[in-house]
Amino acid sequence: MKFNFYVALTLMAFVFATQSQDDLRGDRVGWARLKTPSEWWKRHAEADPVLMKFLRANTSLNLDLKWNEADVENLHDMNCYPFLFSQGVETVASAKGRTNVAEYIRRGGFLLIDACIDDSVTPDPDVFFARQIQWLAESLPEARVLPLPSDHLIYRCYFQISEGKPPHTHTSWSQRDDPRWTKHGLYEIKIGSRTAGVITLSGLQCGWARVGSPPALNHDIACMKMLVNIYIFAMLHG
Amino acid sequence: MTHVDWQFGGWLHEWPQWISASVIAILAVIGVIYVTWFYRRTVGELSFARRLLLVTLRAVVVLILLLCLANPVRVPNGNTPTKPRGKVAVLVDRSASMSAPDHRGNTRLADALRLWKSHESDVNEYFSQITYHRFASALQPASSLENAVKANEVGGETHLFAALHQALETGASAIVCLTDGLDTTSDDAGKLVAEAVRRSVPIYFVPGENRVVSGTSLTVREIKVPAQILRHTEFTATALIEIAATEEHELPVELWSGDTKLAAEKLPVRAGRNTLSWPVQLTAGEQGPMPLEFRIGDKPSQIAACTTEVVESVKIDVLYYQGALQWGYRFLRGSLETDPSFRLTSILNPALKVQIEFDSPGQSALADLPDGARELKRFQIIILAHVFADRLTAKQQQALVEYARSGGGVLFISPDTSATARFSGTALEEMLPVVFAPTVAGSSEDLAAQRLRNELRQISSQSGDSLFAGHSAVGHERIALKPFALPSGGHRSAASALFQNSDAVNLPKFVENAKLRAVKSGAEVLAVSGQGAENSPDVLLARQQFGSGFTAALTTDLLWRWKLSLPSSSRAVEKFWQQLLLSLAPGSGSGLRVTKLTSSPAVNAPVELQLDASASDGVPSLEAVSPGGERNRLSLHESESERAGVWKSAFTPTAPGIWEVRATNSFHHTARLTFSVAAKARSTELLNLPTDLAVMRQIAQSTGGALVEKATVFERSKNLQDDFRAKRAQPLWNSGWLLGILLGFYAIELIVRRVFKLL
Repeated sequence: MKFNFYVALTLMAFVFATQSQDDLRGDRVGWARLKTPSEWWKRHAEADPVLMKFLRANTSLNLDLKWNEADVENLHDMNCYPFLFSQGVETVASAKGRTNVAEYIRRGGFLLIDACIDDSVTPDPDVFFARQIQWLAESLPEARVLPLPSDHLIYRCYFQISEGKPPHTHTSWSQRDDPRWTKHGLYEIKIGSRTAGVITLSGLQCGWARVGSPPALNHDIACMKMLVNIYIFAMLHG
Repeated sequence: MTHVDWQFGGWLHEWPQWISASVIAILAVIGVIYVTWFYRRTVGELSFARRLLLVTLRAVVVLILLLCLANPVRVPNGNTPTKPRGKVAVLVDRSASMSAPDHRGNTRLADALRLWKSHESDVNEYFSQITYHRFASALQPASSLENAVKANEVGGETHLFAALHQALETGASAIVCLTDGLDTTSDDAGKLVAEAVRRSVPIYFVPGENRVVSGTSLTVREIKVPAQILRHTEFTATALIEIAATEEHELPVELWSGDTKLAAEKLPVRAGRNTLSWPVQLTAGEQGPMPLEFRIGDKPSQIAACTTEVVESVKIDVLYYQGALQWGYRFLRGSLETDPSFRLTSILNPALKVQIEFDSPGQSALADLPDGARELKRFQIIILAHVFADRLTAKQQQALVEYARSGGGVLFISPDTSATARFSGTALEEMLPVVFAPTVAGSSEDLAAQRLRNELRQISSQSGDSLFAGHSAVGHERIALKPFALPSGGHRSAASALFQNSDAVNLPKFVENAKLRAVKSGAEVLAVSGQGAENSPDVLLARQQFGSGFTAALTTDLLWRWKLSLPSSSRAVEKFWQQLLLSLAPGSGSGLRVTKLTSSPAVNAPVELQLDASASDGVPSLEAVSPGGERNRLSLHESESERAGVWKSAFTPTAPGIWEVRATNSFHHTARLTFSVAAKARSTELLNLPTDLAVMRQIAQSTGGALVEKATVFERSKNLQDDFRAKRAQPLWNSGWLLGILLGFYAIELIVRRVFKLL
């Protein structure tokens, strides 16, 4: 009983604080992770509600506060979401899974691939990146993967991302300048003139899950801001 | 008037009412038994009567306590207010048609007065004030009903809708109008209904009828055909016909192109004055001129002909304004990108603080919606998606209205009932084909509460603990797409072009839609909600002619989920958007056509004409052909219209019969119009048209009023305040009187016990 009261009080405060944003919300939409055969497909998913709250608090996006799963073997599941978050698609080996991802993107869906920076998950970022490109070339041959320049709109369409590059996460803050990771900016998956997806090797999800960086450094906030820009860019320019 | 509703308090409130009632009853019995047992033995000896008195006093206290526990509440019933209040405005139609006697000498005014007198006392009782007015071409106040009926001279025109609109502005709670329902202007009844609904003012009509012999008339008011049509595309050619008839019948109409009959139909005509729209769906052929000729009626038919140009390519500039962040934009943009005819300029509501940029040739962006119609005129279509009333300034809304009136196309899209409700009564709503539901909760507290409810609903599907503890909450979206459906009777409308050859699979599908109050008269419903609609289907897409342009309202989301649900090879979504926008886009320039501006031509009275043509084709020639075949070349002078290619002309017919005017441009394309010229001028007012009961009934029912008959009962419309009061319950037990009675009985019992020496 008391819990409900405090929840209501907190929400009331939140509602009044975000009044101007709430006035502008559009269609409600869900956030989903692409469920692949990879054992890591939902790694850091426990922190996704934090991201959802950040998105709702800082933008007028009408995002559901829970995270959903979209099975790569079920195209109908995937089609419920205009934007899918993925740990990587290289483990999708079945013909149905490959066809589903390609068809989802061709219909207009947007795919964000974000590499986890944990060595046990992604031992080598270059290999990870190469596998994504190879998989896309085989499953979606019309797609091209291109680096996004530092002055690209994706770095300023909502938040101003300093230096025109994504914030990089690492398992140890002291190793945050590891050039194997930091040499990568953002990459776009392009079909014709359309940006149909983005690949990051910045561990954005690890960032908002507060892996490897002290909270005081606000690295989690920086990663969520980058994600907001990618999401809004996908909505408007994807 | 009120009634008492029983509601149990405390822990009893959670139980079914019959269980709670049983518990109370059992407790009452136990209480009485206990009190009886309590007084079974006393310190002193008591007689039976004294014992009974004490038992009764104690039992009353116990029963009052149980009554408090039962918690009865008083619920006011707002259907029949006890006190009359508000004022009613009574309007008397003093136009000529109301005073024309039939062969028995009866007038419509006398008939309406007779009917009104039988109801006047009811209305007197109900409303605190009655004001009287008379009208013909203008509304004038009158001191009494007699004064309103008396008039030195009757009016030659009836501005019925304008008079009712003026009456709304007097602050009346209800309007009663004594009339024959004839409006001789081209005013739109839809605007009147929208305003009455917005103000919650019911309109009652007291119809006046007699047996006057009616006249008839037939006029082709206007034909609407795009000046240019892309080859092999579908387009709509429309004839707007005004016909006055004495009885119901069918009007034969035909459309020809050269020697080929393209369409034929019989339009139902009701007794009275009719304005009929006959839209015909056509497919353009190869490049070149396409003559079109409407033949209306028979023996003889009236002809209105024009020429349109079929071209290889057209360019359509679209301005897209989006009020909220949502996914539909990119899918709509993608649909238009597949056709290079469309050039898109995008604006995102500046309050969203989002930047957009484009480097492709067909796309650009603007910072905000211009607040001048002149700046909007470079676009053929403006799309307003997910807009919010308080984010568009009055100037911006007015600019949009002027833009549409002067020939632009406006498409309003929103699936949000609360957002559309805020457009109720705005300038923007006036131009749209629909009437939005009025705002129910307007205060910021209500909005905050609504938002809070939304937030709570958001988390209701997951554990509140997990949300606030940061634990994972995974789900599966289950989105149910609902299909569009064609409205019944929409087979010959523009809907058939939008959804042509579409089976159920290819019809658009949506998730959410806004609810409407009404569709305006004259608007065309293109789509309604399909399977799964519980009651009557919701209107999803409607459009109407507004001035020289078109406006449309799509009450769904931007159909992006439909796009994601279709195979990537499907082009159904692209086709839908492109066809919809093409149907709204005005042609560039004007096709060659002649319009008669004089409503009732007569011998020796000038007939004014308007000629529309493409400015680039040079000045066309115009001639009038008399019933005897004599030809007279007419001079043209350029109109003061903002649009180039508009000329005016006039001539004076010298003989009664069928006259024809013909226009020819430098490419020898022709347009012509035939009309009858009467020997003597007869205005619509003097045609003795039958009383228009259908129009009166429609307006009355739409506003919550009635077409008054002998059995009609007058009552004030239910307003929001009444509804609110009806739901407000007042606890009856929470009163000082009840507490006083309870303590009184207890005190009496103590005193009696003292008197009986028990204390």
